[in-house]
Amino acid sequence: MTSRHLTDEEIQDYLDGNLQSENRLLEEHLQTCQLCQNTLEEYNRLYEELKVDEGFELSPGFLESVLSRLKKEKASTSSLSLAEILILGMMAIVALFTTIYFVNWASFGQVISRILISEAKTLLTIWGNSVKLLMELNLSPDLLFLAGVILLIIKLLDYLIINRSHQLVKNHS
Amino acid sequence: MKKLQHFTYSNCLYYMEEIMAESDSLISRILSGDTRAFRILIEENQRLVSHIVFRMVPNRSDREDLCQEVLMKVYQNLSSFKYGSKLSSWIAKIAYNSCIDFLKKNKKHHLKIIPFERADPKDLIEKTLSPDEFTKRGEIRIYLKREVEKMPPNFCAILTLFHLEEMSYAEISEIMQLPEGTVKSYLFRARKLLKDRLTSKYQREEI
Repeated sequence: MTSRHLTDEEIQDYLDGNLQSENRLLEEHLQTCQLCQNTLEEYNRLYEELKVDEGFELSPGFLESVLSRLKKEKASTSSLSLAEILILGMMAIVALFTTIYFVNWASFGQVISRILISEAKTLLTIWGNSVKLLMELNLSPDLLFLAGVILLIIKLLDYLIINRSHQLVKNHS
Repeated sequence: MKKLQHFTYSNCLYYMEEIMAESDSLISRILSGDTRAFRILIEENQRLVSHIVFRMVPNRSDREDLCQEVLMKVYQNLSSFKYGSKLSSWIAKIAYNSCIDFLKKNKKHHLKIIPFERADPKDLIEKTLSPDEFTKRGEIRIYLKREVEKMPPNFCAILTLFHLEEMSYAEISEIMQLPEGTVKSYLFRARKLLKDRLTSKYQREEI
């Protein structure tokens, strides 16, 4: 039997069931030493209290409020407000007019017809035609830049709308 | 004896696999739009969420909102749940991270050194206690509850996951993204601190 008292860590390990089998000497000491038994008892009492599952009660309507919040979120993400639809519509019109203004329609028509003729070809051929389409459209750097700007604006709007939807969900709750 | 251990271990594995298969099928049902399945998920896990949130967030009025927030996040992120892993650990991780984010955002209002709203004694006193036991045991219970609430949030989380949820060091380490050694050391320190406070306030006979 060991004469030294158990450390707090060893007593906690003992209560957790983690005291290694080679520490049998410590266990024997624990059985006979009043001081260590007292500490063990204090920890035992603390463990009892830490297991008390009280004071964590949610309100009776909790479950229903989560489910109704979920319903609202589903509804708000699938519907847009009038202002948001107007903004999106305006952006679409701007994009359409810009395309009409810049695109060389004669060469565009030719390329489209060529693509239709070669529709039976493999994906690789289609990819080749798409590259050809881009080449023959005579895209100016200005047009590419403008297309980039439009895409960025659309992305920004998308982000704003999604953010707003999340805000709405929070407000509802 | 060895045979018995082997049998128990296999049984354990078998039940773990069964539990995981059940949660996998529950998640598949929720993802296919079955709201009743989500109701079951909430019923089975709301206690786990409230244990973590109530222990980590001091202000009572914020707790239930945060529990709702956690369950909404669970729903929104269900598609990223890895089938075959433990659902309760995954939910506990979301709850723990949500509490940490909440406490960071509301640092000014929820500094733990400021005495916050005290727990309602009615919530804490076990109905099974006899009138004689009630006074001292109830008092000790309230005292300890308050001392736990004063602790840093990660100590509170570890105490909850280990003692109330009966999770292993490995599970807690996965949830809190801490090495197992750190989890063990925090747990030991937290319990020693609580035991010392308990013994400095009460006589051994009273405890």
